[in-house]
Amino acid sequence: MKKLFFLSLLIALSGCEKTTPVHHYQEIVIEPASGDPHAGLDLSAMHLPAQQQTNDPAMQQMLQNSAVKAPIAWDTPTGWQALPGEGMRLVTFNSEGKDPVSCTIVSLGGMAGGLDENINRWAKQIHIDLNEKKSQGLTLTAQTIELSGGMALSLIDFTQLQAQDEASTDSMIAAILNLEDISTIFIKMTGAKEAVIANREKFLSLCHSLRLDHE
Amino acid sequence: MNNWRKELHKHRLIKTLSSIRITVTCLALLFILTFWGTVAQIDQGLYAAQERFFFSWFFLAGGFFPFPGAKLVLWIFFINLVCVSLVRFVFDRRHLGITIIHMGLLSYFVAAFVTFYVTVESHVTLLEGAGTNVSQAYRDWELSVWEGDDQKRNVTAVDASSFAPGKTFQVNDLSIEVENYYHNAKAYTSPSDSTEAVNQSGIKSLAKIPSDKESEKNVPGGIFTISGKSVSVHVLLFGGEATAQPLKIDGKTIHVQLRHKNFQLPFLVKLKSFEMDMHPGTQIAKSYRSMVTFEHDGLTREVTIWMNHPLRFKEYTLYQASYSIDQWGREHSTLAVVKNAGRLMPYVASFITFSGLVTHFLLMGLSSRKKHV
Repeated sequence: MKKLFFLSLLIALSGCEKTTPVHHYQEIVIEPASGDPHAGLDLSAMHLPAQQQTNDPAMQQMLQNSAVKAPIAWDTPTGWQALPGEGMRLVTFNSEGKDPVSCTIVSLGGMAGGLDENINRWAKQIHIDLNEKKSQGLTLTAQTIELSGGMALSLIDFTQLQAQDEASTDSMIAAILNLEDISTIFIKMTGAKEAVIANREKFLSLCHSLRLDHE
Repeated sequence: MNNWRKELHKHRLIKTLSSIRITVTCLALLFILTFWGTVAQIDQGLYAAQERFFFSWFFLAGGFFPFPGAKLVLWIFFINLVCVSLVRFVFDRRHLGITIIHMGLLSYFVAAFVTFYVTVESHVTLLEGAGTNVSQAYRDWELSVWEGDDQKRNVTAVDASSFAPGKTFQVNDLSIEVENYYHNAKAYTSPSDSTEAVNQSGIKSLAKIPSDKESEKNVPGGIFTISGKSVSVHVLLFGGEATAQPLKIDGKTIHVQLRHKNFQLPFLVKLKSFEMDMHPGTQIAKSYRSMVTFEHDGLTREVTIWMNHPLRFKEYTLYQASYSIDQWGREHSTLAVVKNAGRLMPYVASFITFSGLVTHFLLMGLSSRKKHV
């Protein structure tokens, strides 16, 4: 009988932490004042330790919550697989087949640094010295592509600067679409130079499919 | 010996429970569990190993052999120590110190149990200028439902740990049925053969993936049927989504989101400013601090939280845990929030034990002096 009592006590104690699954609370959300004085800062040049930027789950959640939700839609190019984005990254595409590239659509608030600053930042990411290329007579010009709804994006093709480089060199084609007063959309495809060139048409079809999502 | 203690001595169960063999077995098992649990953290991760070895009554060693968990061993050890105190101790003045020391040791157990059952650890991550009155769990998830999109929201949340296919929960006027739920999932924009579900991020299907050994990396996802009086909607929710899914049900706009479990705080904390000092000539942080505005009951005060200088309020303690800088250059501060109603108990236990030691040495000193005299 006493053993039974102790057993019951143990079972009762084991159930102590179980609570009802439905609970209520009042949440107060205070957003920071609009306007982003830091938009477009080139943090890669600040050499911040990597762990300060992304590996904190709390930070990742915060970034997700603070990202600008851009009202745009697109069509996934044939042969590319779309993965849902998080935070400021709206979507990630991975190509299938022998020329793997990764392509992302990112939405940032405000002007996000402007065209020149972003070109310089991207060039650094794929180890291109723009001044050195300039001295070789190679210059980069942004191409303007007209989209539906009167929008226009700037296309920057870094492969044209890498004519003499090996096919396996890291390369990039990127585009910037500025949605006035809402956000700036960055479309960026990276991979080996050969793969980037092979997927150029798909990247352009993705750019042409961009449209405002009114829903 | 008191009469009641004589009676207890005769009691077979109490006598058995006060056996020194139980004490030794418990100590040996605790040694094994501590060693095993520590080594297992390499493969299973910190949280999973803690759950398996320390927070369980039993676990299956090698997948088939039941082995007692630290929770069971500690309870038996506690009962054993209580029985030993009742049956074996001789309560006289000479042993007063020893008795107090043992009471102190038992107080540690009580403090550990209280801490285990009532402590809630969470965090608040704020951007400069932002504020909140809720903290977020590191690992647990919930399905939050609220009406409208105001600054003040009355949220009803269902604990995701109770989700299983076919289960239904009543949330206000809505019925939420779990069609599918994965503790760790990957989301795809390519459709699956299953039912089509609403999702604002363009996610069309989910795939179950193995749980990560670091449980805070698991991102759940599921398909739910949310039914009002006149309409039912299939909704796909993924933990990685940034914003809540708006739904129009019975003429009302409600928001649903699968997110980390939220805990309401009895105060509002707003990050006024975040500052950090760098080591000279480097970009390595030497120290960092958060200047926060703390609001409670209509009263506002400004507090600086930094390393070893937490903000304490009732049973809550807010520590400066980490900081981050996003690619816009904006600073985010993460404050660890610990709610522990029994936070003073270990100090009380230490004080009792210390008093016991002092009493014991004083009494020993006095008795040896008497002998010499």
